[in-house]
Parts: sequence; C-alpha cells; structure tokens
Amino acid sequence: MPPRYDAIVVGSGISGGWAAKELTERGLNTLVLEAGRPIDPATDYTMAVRPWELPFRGKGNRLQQERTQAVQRKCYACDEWSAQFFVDDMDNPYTTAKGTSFDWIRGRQVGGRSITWGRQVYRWSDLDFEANLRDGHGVDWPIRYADIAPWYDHVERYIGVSGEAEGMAQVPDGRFLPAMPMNVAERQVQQRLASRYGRERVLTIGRCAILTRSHGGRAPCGYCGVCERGCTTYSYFNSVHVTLPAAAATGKLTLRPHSVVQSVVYDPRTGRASGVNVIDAETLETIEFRARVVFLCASTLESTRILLHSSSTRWPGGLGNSSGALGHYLMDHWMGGGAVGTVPGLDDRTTVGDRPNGTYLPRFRNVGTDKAPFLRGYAYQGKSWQPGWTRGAELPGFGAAFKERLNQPGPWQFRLKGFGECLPREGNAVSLDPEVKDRWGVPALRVDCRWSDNERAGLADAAQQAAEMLTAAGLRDVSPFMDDNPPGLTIHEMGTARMGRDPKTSVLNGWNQSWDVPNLFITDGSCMTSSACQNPSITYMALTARAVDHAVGLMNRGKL
Amino acid sequence: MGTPIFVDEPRNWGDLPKVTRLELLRLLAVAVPALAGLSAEELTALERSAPTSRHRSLFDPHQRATVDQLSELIIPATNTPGARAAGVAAFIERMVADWYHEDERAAFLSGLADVDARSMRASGRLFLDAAAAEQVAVMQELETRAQTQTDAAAPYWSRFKALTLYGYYNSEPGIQETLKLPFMPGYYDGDAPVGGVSGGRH
Ligand SMILES: Cc1cc2nc3c(=O)[nH]c(=O)nc-3n(C[C@H](O)[C@H](O)[C@H](O)COP(=O)(O)OP(=O)(O)OC[C@H]3O[C@@H](n4cnc5c(N)ncnc54)[C@H](O)[C@@H]3O)c2cc1C
Repeated sequence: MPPRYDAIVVGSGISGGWAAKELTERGLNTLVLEAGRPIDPATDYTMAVRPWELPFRGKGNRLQQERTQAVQRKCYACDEWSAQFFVDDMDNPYTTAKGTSFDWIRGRQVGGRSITWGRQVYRWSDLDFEANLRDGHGVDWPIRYADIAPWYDHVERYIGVSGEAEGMAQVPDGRFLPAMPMNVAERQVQQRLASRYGRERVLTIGRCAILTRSHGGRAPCGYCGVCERGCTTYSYFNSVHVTLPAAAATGKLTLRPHSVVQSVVYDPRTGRASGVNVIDAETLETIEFRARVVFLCASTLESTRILLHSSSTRWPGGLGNSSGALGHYLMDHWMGGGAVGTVPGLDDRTTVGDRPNGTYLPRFRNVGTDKAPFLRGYAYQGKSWQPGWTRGAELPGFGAAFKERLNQPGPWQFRLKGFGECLPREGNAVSLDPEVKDRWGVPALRVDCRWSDNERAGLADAAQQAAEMLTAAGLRDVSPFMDDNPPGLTIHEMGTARMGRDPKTSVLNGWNQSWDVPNLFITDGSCMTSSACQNPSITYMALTARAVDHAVGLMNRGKL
Repeated sequence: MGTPIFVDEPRNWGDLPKVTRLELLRLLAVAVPALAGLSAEELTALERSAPTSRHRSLFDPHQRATVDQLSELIIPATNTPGARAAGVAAFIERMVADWYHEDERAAFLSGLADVDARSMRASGRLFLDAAAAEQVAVMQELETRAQTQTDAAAPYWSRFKALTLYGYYNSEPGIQETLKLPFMPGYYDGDAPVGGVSGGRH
C-alpha cells in the first residue's frame, strides 16, 4: 500500500507553505512534496556574503548563466548571490508558440520563489473582483472583497506587513506594522503631488512583508537591503523561515524535497483524487502517495502542467477539465511604462541604510469618475535614490578629484514604474509540448501568450501620466520610458485554472475546489480569474488559507 | 515582481548586457531544442562541455602591469586605498577571461595594445615606461575620445573605466574604507546630512 496521509500539498513556495501551515494546524497529517532541494538558512542564505568574496564581485557567472539560466538571468534578482534560487533552464525547458515569447522565471527548491520575491503586498478590492463582470472580459469572480477580507487580515497578522493606511478603496488598508520611512526627496514629491492631485493620485510608502518591529519571534529589518539572498534575521516573509517551521512545529508535517509530482492519480470508482505520482529527483524512482485531499501549490503554470499531464480516458483533456478552460486565460502584469527625473535641490541630504522597499502610487485610472481610453488600470512602484559611484562610467575624468566626487552622493533621482492589468483572454494558453520533456521526463509546457492592444495602451498611458506627474512635482530632466517586456518577466503570471461561478466555464469553484474532483484544490496563481494590477502573492496566501479552512470543514462534516 | 528600486541602479549598472537578438536566439535554442535540431540531451551535453574558466592567466606580465597602472590612475590611493590595493587588476583579468565573450575579450586586448601605441606615438615609450604626466596625457586623450564617441577606442575606454569602478567599489577597501558603508545599520534614515554616516549599500 502506498503511504497515506490526510493531505498532500504539492510545492513549498508561498502558497504551499501556507497550505502546510493551515492544514497541520488543523490537525491534518500533511505531506509536502517539493520538487527541489532542501534549503538550510544557515548555509544557503547568502545575505552575509560580501561582493569581494565572490569570483565576479556580484556580476554573476555570465558565461555559465547564458547556457544554464538563459531565461532566469533576465530577472533582476538572479545575481551572483541568488542565481542558486532560480531554476536551471536546461533541466526545466519550456517552449513558446511561434512569434511569441514568454519569460518564465521560476524557483525550484524548498521555499520556491518566496526566497527571492520582492515582498510587495497589496490587497485587491471590489474594483478588481467585479472587473470581469463589469466589462465582460473573462468570467465573473465567484468571490467579492468581503469574502476574502478576513483572510487578508489573517495572513497579514501572521506574516507582518509594514505600510501606511491611506483609506483608499482601490487598495484597502490592512493590518499594518509601522511604515518604513520615506526619504526626504520622496516626501517632497509626495507633498507636491498631493497639492496638484489631492487624494486622486497619492504617493504612499510601499506595503511590504518586511518587519519594522519584532513580530512572531522574528527580528525587525536591519536595512542591508538584499532580502532576496535569504535574510539571516528572518525579517521578511518567506516559507523557509516562517510558514514551514510553523507547520513542522505541529508535529504533523512531512516535508519531502526532491519529489517531482508528475500527475494526480484519479480514482474513477470514487470520482476523487487518490493521491499523486512522484518521481524522486535523485533516484528517478516513481512513487505513489495517497491522501484524502490534494492541494496543488506548485505555482501558476506548474500546477496546470501537472493536471494536463494527469489525463486519462475519463479526462482526456487533463484532470478536472470538463470546462475546457484548463490551460487558458493566462495573464501577467505588463511592466515598465513610467518616467524618471531629477529632484532638484536637497544636495546636503542623503540616506543611511538600504531600504528594501519603495513607494507606491495606487491605481487612479478608471477609478471613480476617471475614464481612460483603455480598460482596467495600473499602479506605480518607484522610489527616490541618489546614484553614487555608479554614475562614474558616464562622468568625465579620472584621478583623485574624480574619486572624491564619486564618493559623494549624486543628484536625487525619482522613478515611477507602472505595473498594469492584463485582460483574461482564451488565446493566451499553455499546453503540453508534444516533444520536449524536462530532465525527469515530464512533458514541458508550450506557452502561447501575447499582449493585446489594451495592455499596450495602458503601458503608453502609464509613461505619459508618469512624465506629467513628475513634471508637476517639480522634477527636471523628466524622461518617460516604455519597456517592451514579454509576458512572464513581471513574475505575476496568473490564471490557467480559473475560479468561477459556473462549472461549464471555470475549473475551480469559489473555494478553489475543482468542480470535477471535489477533493482537489488549487490555490496558487493558477486559480486567478482576472489579474488586477496589484502584486498578487498575498491574494494567493489569503485564498490558500481560506480554501484550507473550507476543505477541513467539509472533511470534518464527513463531506470530503 | 517587487519594487523596481533594484532594477534602478547598482545591480543592472555598467556593462551588464541588454538582451540582444543573438542572445534571444541562443535562448530560443535552449527553450526550443527542436528549433536547433538537437535533442534536449544533446544540447545539454554540448552546452555543458563548454569550458568554464580561462582565468588562470590571460594577461602576460606586461598587460597585467599596464591594467594595474591604468586602474590605479583612475582610482588612486588618496587618504583611502586605491585600485591597486583593492586588487582591481586581478578582478579585471577575471572578468575579461571568464565573463567576456570572445569578441569583447579581443576588443579589450586590442584596446590595451592601443594604449601602448598611443604612448609610443606621444613619447616614444610604452605606457608603463612613460613619465607620470605622459601617462595622464594618454588617458586624457582616451577620455576625450570616449566622451565624444568618435572612434573605436571609445567603448574600450568606457568599459575599462566601468570595470575599474565596479571592481573597486565592490572590494573590501572600496566598501569598508572609502565608502564606509555600514553593512547593516539597523535603521533607515531617509533624511541624513551628507558627510555623516555613509548611505546605503552600493
Ligand atoms: C524576483 C521576484 C520578485 C517578486 N516580487 C513579488 C512581489 O513583490 N509581490 C508579489 O506579490 N509577488 C512577487 N513575486 C512573485 C511571487 O514570488 C510568486 O507569486 C509566488 O512565489 C508564487 O507562489 P507559489 O507558491 O504559487 O509558487 P512558488 O513560490 O514558485 O513555489 C512553487 C513551488 O512548487 C515547486 N514545484 C513546482 N513544480 C512541482 C512539481 N511538479 N512537484 C513538486 N513541486 C513542484 C517548486 O519547486 C516551488 O518550490 C516575485 C517573484 C520573483 C522571482
């Protein structure tokens, strides 16, 4: 008999860590299957490694990465310290449809991308949950803000989120720890924007899952600014040093690394999932594990890949795909319509410490009475900083005076960078590639995803509006920019197993539960019905906790 | 993705490459082995067999000494250590050997030869043998050309300067003694006087 657990969780990243914590805390014997290697903060975190201790002083092993991380290296965080937390692209191939590109940035180890993530957390609002219904793109979300709000509370209280309450309906306030301070230039921009735009366009400090005071036994941030290398004071949230230890503390957790789940096993007699099939990544042995309930948390496209690969005579198009929606409606945020400029003055002021957080300018397009010539909206992340020696390559000169100049901070810069909503479209889809397989023999995904005119219009508008705002705020040398990133690179990929109100058009119900296979839950970004413009991970966490609560409730009532 | 602050500067600064068409093709060849006409395994084997380090000794002693002298003249020892004390020449050798592409390496080495050629024309001596003022004059000439981008030597000099600055300001003396950056100050002050405690990580 294969080993049997109460619950199986596939993946140990942001979603899987939360599923594990919530399931074990409710007394369920839980097996977490993680494809990648184990992570030990004591030896794997590289925060304390200084650049001169590295062969390339931080620039990374470029020639090797061009071979083994050709996609991953496009991510800003995939540097000489953190490249170890990104996948090997040769072991983990995927293909793209002709004429399209998609940058799929992944982490394959215990903790997944929670180690390297940017920690920005913003609640969604009914502006987002009602968006599909309002303009007819995609299907209606089966939930509203009121359904998820208590779970946002629950998650924020536990992970610790610092931020400023602003009372803005489009990004509801949360349970915040004290906000990180803005710097002097940011405050100046904030004030000038306020006098020009009032409460319509508000610059606020970024809301981030980084502690500003001791919380849950973890220390506040020390402002070294390099979270994504792994924080040895555990000051930001990730699953390695927060949720997984909490799950382990219950005594109910079994964490099995090197366990590549290739399919969910469906039992036609019961109409339920009986468990999963695993390939041991080290021995290549195939093992079956069983459980009463299965949570897929392998990340947006990986969970869908598992389902597509779990086809059978009963489910030829992939497990739980009676709707035909599985694999479709892939989204990512577009990124990089914005502007940069110089904040005049304040030459005698500077900063101490490297604040791993920026500022945020919440969505104002199509909010209230605003009517933009495109659907949905965008928000800006940004910050003000003073370039130091990095400006030297462009400055004329060399020698003692040059060196002295570089040691002083340069003029204050300020940047606004847009992150915008992507419409759910059926044609943006993934399927199993008929030929290419990964290192463990599991069929690779073929991604077919492109931006539409609506995304391009938002991007252009974000550049124009940013330039206008920075000019209004008194900046000099304001230049708008429009990055032409392929989908994927924003790393907010979402959709492909969407939630909905109707089993005919959606894969999951309002509890992240498969319409077709009732003991199967998908709580990572695959479940998303629309993309909003806020960073999505806190919503995955809240949905995960909510789904576990529901699943355990059903189990306790004998309904699962 | 998180705040774009990290994209802004230090880490994407300098000659970190933008994705070129060529790289895109390489990338496609990895992502779509069928396109390259090779199986995934063949491609893996092929790619993995590529050499990983040429570092052992790329420069001859003369080249090494020239790089060392140039870097020290860009960032000299003042009341704080200079590029020489920070081991910048060894860093540059490592970068040129193990980080540069073949064409970039060739451009670097011919740029180095160009320094000597200019010195010979100006003073009849190799750069290292020239008087201090003559060395500075050669660098001044390269600097002027780089600023006006008039000839092929311009990108070479800009890259040399960029490598020197990167190596220096990521060295132990550069960070600890010159910038005096506290690694983890334990607080953030967004409105501190210039000239007090130094700023954030660079
Ligand atoms: C540099 C960077 C910055 C980011 N910034 C932000 C931000 O500021 N805010 C935000 O909201 N989001 C951000 N994100 C996105 C965020 O990291 C993801 O949304 C989040 O990690 C998704 O959580 P997840 O649990 O679904 O997936 P992941 O965290 O990716 O974890 C998935 C796990 O499943 C495992 N797995 C995959 N396939 C299998 C399989 N077949 N069998 C077993 N295990 C498997 C993987 O190895 C991995 O450990 C950022 C991401 C990156 C990389």
